[in-house]
Amino acid sequence: MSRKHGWKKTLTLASSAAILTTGLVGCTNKVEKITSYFAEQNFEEALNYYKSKIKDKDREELTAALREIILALPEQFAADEIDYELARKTLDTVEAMHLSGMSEDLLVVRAKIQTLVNSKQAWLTAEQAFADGDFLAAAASYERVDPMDPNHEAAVEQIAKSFAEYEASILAQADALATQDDYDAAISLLQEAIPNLEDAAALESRLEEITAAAEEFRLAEERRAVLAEAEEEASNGNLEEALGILDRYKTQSGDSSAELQTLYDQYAADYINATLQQVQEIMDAGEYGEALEILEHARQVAESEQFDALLAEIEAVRPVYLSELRAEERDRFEKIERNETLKDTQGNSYSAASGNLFQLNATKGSWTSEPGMVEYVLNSNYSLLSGVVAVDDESDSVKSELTIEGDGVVLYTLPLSVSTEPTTVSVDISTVNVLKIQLAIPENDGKLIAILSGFYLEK
Amino acid sequence: MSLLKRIQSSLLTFGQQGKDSFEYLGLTVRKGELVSYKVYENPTPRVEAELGKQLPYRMLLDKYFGRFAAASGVRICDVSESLLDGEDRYRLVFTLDRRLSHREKEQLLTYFFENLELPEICAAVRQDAAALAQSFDMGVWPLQQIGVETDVHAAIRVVKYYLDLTQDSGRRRACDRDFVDRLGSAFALNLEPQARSLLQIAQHRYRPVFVGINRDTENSERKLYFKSDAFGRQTEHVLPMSESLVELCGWERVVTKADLGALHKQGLYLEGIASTLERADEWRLYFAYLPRWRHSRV
Repeated sequence: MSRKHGWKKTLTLASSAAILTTGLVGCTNKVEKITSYFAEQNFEEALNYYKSKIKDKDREELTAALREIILALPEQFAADEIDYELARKTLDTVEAMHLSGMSEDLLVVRAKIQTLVNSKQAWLTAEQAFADGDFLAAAASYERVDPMDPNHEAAVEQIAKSFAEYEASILAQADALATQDDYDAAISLLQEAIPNLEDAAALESRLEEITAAAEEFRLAEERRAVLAEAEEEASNGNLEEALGILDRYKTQSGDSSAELQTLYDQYAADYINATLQQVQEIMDAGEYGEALEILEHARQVAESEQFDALLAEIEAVRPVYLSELRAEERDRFEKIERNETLKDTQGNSYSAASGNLFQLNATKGSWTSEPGMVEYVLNSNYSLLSGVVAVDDESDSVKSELTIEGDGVVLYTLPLSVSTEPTTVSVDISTVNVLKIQLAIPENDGKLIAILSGFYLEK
Repeated sequence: MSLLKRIQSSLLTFGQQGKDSFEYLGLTVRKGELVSYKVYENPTPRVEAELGKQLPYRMLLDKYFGRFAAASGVRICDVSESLLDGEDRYRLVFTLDRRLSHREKEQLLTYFFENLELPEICAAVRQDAAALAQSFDMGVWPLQQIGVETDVHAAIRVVKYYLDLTQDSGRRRACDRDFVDRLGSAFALNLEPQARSLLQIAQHRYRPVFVGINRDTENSERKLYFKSDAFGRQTEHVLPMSESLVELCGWERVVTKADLGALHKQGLYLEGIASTLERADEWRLYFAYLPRWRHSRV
């Protein structure tokens, strides 16, 4: 009711103004009549009156009066003095009169009314979105509130408020996610939000902070996993592997945390002690070559002055193994791979783990007689040649002869056959320049393989 | 029947006999085609014991080689039968101990030929041995084996003898350009047509070990024998080398890659190769058991 009343008032004032402006008394009554029908919202009567009473001479005055009425409509609609339906009927009625020069005004007014309709809807949507906490949507809707709309000024304020709330809500959410260690989600949230704000400095700053925190968290997680893996290996006695794991991680990540270093130092100390004990036992058993190999390997795993000292000690006392010498000549002489084990005809096993196990292979057949031999230049640097000779269980039942010669002179002869027991050989070589070990089959056809195990030369 | 089937059949025959006397399977290749194959026996004591019961070996020993076979430093190294030009052939070959002196070998050669009545062949043996020794500057007389091939009536068809290329230096010779030239010079033969193949064989880790000569009153045929240099564990890995060599020398139609693989699975590898010096297109391929296989059979 109040709207209608307000409209009548407005319309009445406009009509009076039109009368005063025109000063045409004859026409005025007819024009007033029509405008009064508009004021009473009696559009049907207005149209009927127009059709029956209005003559050509009245049209100019009527046009002016009705233009004023319709031009006022947007402002009245914007101020909620009239509703959309009343505005529409007013415009439809005026349009139905087909007054000359009115069509453009009608189009303009209709467009303004529609803009205001949309603006009002945008305001309502924005208010709802704001109330729901959807600040980005609220801001977008507030931006659609038209300057003609009385809410426009408020909308402008609300836009700033919406973005502020949006920023605050994103920061709060990101912080909450980060607190729960869900750094990926927090980072995604911030990265998606930043383009939505004209001034995203706060979000960008938080993104940097959270990214750094995420990296720190990742490193911490990685470190925890590496430490756990290393601890697992160490608890299983694999200290070398544990050290390897820590060392590789240190190199790859650049992690210099005290936690990591402490564990590394602890394992290194354990490894060094265990290795020194193992090497000492092997040395006590006279296996200097194996002790050396273990130490050389251990030096690659962990640094220790104790390793260096023990190496020097071994070097001073150890004999030279056959495997360390370079053969000047060799034929049918084979070094056995470390992963292999040989068996002799008496059922004994010979491990090649120390790398100092050899086979001398002689064969005799209808085609050839092929003795096995190996020759070393010693230059009288050694005093004694020692080792064990056995017959490989792949040998045939043939008689063979192993000879050790020094500078062409036979120093030692050992007949070999499949029934030969392992024999310890010890030969004085103090004056020998060229040492030759030879295996030959003098009579029947077949193959015999001599095992040379643990041969060494004393200085 | 495919080559492989025939080989398998031959090996099976030996297995059934239970003699464990298999030594080589020999394939003769001419112009890239298989012309014959033969299984060679190793004269284990059991085989030797049976020799006396079998003609024509008994006849040979009784008639010709009684004194020779009983001499010190002589032993039978090969007995085998083959079919040549539709005729059964019997082979009996003796080895002379490597430690015998030149004079002792000369004496044994005299014993060998004393009942054969083949003085011209005896002279040829001496001549060939001397020529080879001279060409290679050998310090020893290279006669290593000597024997005969007969018909079923023990009539001598061919005298066979083998001249060693390994005894003098204690080192096995490599077959290089110089070796081929010296060998050709020793027997006045042009070895250019097969020189490339000979060098290829050497590059595949085979070394020349002896020259084998078949001689009758009119003709002679010489073969250069190579033996694989691989020993021990190396022999387990010779298959790719054999495949390469077979392809390079044009023997694929006789022994395909598949054949080589199948033979290898049966424990056989290409241990020896012989080149007929008078015929550049004739070769003999010898397959023997890999050392570990042979051992596992004993």
